[in-house]
Amino acid sequence: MLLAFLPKGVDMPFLMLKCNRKLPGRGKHCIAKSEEDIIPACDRATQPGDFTERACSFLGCRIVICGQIDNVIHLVHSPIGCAYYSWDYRPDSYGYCFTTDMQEMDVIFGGEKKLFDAILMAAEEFDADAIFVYETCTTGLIGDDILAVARKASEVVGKPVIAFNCAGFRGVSQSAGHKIANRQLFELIGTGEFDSTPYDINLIGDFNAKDAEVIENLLNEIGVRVLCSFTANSTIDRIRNMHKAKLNVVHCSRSSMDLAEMMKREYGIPYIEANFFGIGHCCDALRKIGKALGIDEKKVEEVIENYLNKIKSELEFYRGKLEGKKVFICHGVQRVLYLIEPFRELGMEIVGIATYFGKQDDYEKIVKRVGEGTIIIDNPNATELEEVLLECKPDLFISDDRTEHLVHKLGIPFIKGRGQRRAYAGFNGFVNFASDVYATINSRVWGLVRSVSEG
Amino acid sequence: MKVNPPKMCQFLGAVFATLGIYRAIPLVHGSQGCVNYVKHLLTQHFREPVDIATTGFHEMSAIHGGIDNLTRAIENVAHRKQPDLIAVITTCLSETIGENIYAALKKINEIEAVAINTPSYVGAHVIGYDNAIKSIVAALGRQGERTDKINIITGIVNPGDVREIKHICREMGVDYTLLTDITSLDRPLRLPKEKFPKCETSVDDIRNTPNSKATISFGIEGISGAEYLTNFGVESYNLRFPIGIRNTESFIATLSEISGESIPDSIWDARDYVIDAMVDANSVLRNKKVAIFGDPDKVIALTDFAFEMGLRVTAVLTPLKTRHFVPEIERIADENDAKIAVFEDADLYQLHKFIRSNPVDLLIGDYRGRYIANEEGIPLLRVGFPVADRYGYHRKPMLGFGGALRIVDDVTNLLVEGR
Repeated sequence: MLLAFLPKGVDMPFLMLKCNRKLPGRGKHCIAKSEEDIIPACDRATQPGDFTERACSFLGCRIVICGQIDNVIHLVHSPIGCAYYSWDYRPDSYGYCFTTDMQEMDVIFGGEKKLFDAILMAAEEFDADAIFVYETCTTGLIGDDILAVARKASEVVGKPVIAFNCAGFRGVSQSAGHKIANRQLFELIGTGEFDSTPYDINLIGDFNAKDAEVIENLLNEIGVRVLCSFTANSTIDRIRNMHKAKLNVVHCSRSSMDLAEMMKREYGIPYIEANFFGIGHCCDALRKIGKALGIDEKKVEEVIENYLNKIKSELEFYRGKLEGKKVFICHGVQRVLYLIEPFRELGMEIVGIATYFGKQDDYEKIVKRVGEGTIIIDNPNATELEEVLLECKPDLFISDDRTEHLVHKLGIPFIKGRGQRRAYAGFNGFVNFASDVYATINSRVWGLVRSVSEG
Repeated sequence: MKVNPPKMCQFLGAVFATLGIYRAIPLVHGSQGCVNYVKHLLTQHFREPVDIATTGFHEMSAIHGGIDNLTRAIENVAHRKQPDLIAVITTCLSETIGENIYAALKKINEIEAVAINTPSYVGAHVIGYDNAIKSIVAALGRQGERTDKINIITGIVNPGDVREIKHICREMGVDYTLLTDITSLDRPLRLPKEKFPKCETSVDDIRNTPNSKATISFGIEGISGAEYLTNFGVESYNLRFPIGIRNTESFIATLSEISGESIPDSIWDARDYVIDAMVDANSVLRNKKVAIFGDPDKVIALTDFAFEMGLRVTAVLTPLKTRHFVPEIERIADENDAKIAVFEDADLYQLHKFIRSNPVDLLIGDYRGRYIANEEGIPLLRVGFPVADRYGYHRKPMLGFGGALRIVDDVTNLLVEGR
């Protein structure tokens, strides 16, 4: 059915969408999975003029990685825009906005002095554990040496001042910003002193505080202590002690694998990839972590068994109601990879996938995990999504706020993949998720949306 | 350094102005992040999809210039959406490089494209809005036969406010062109989805603005566009925002004066309903201390209205420096035997510190006031843009008698609940 809108003469498996007809560059980014395991073109700069959902490396650094760290002053060295828009970008976050508010004269004569003064003022006025300084397009272009300013200021204020060269024009997407953030924060690791146990781990690459809390508690039950959730629920002190862990559990490898690699090289800490979304993933994660730390297998199985019994009947109810429903997933690539299996566990069919900044190995994994005919789009834009959704009419679209209102205007049930009001990770979290998916799809309002003839 | 500054950058204002034109697409000449942020903020406030294209600056374009990106982007947008207008809006990135987008646009013939310069290291969103209106009117305006229309430059206001303006004009029988009509960002949900969200202002309407009888603008938000149109003999009436009783009356009187239409009973009724509400709530409102912050001209008009309600404004703050702000606040203070602390070119942390030592009963401003409100335990009346932490505030008016009634009721209830 999904292949229906492939016009004759176009080679499988590339999808020639109507909106892309005159834009051959985009054609190769959209495929329907075929036997040949071809992946969409990816990891390329956005085509100029696209209504892309991608962001810049400043977002990847300032909001995704650094924004979650508690009690830090995030000083954005920029004209007002970057600072204002990154201020509580996530609806559930709450913090102050600090900016050098660069003016025309500062752009002409340089803003290093202004930045230095701002760091000193911020340190004097607010009691924070550290001050993070972010470069943006303008301050990057005029060549302000924020690393040097931060070094000098750190000596004066006597606390860490960490600078990030994350100007928005660096890299093809926010993904570049993750690396910049990790590289700088790595410098903090190993500066703390602390007595560790053989059962201490770090959770790397989880950026949702509610999920991180649930995962930490779950791991406690098998006798594992999380030293630091990097960066949800993290503090400067927790990051300083990360080198004391016996194992790193990498949750989002796209954003955090480089940090795990650096820690392996520098401190000899091994890492495994695992995630806690969905029943299968959750069991695997507990078993893998248990095995890596030499925890009694029986203890781990007991915990798993206990949870499975508790949630069994509820999950069966939701599975019965959701069986066969079609879902379209549009997210950062890691969340896409985590969502495929859990939706299967709910009996749902994946009809389409779109990711903002997946790379070749990510798409290879995705293609292996989905059924034939599944649509896969790299770096989707609003016009493409609209066309595809009207064609494949999913029962549910799962994404983040970028696409929420477009999907709503198409009358398609929408849910956010990040649990905002409650956690989606862990066993109970998955029941929360199933119940939200069920409630979304079955909301009466979708049936009240009228169709009218155009005119 | 600024801490919690309640101002956004110029290009947001230009995007805002463009989105109120039917079948117009803003194309932002800068890094793709810029678009992501502004889109994010707009969708959080309006809860509507917003189409903004980006030229997608990267390292190479930052070094070698982005004109090639711009040309390709215009082609792309033209193919994808077939808009009637593309507004090419600059950012600090393209401005710092010094891109000559005018030269690039001269070569584009197949589609209407307008250049708007909006460096974010100058001024703020309201200035960007003003620049946008002027650039759009200057590029599209064509002299032709005189009409009976009145151009109304709304400023950065909500769909609820635009509906108030339309309501007043219709009641009075005044023909108008709105610059621009942001009701495009509050659309009913029904299928199929509109290709472009509907609103009343088309590109042709804007072409025709030099032929109108007059232009009404509020404060600095649109004044340059209004002044530009005087070159074509279109008289400019620069008013205070029609917020509160006297300011709304003066807007209506101006409409009446220009058009020669009389003020119908329905409008007097609407006015007197507000007076009734204000009198009923007088025992709650009188003598309550208030701090107001936001865009300069809205703060001026809100301060006027606050005193009409019986509130005592003790502090006002605006993130910009403008010619009229201080004299206007001084006028209001004189008229009301009041002492008002004035913060210009300031941030909300300064206001916070002031309020800590000079407590108030109520704060009025956009949702960024929540840091002060939460930490000091005082109610916040959310008005204007953005209100990203609540639903439906884009429908709530602040202008006209409808807006006045809403503000009286909401302020009263906030104060009652806070007791």
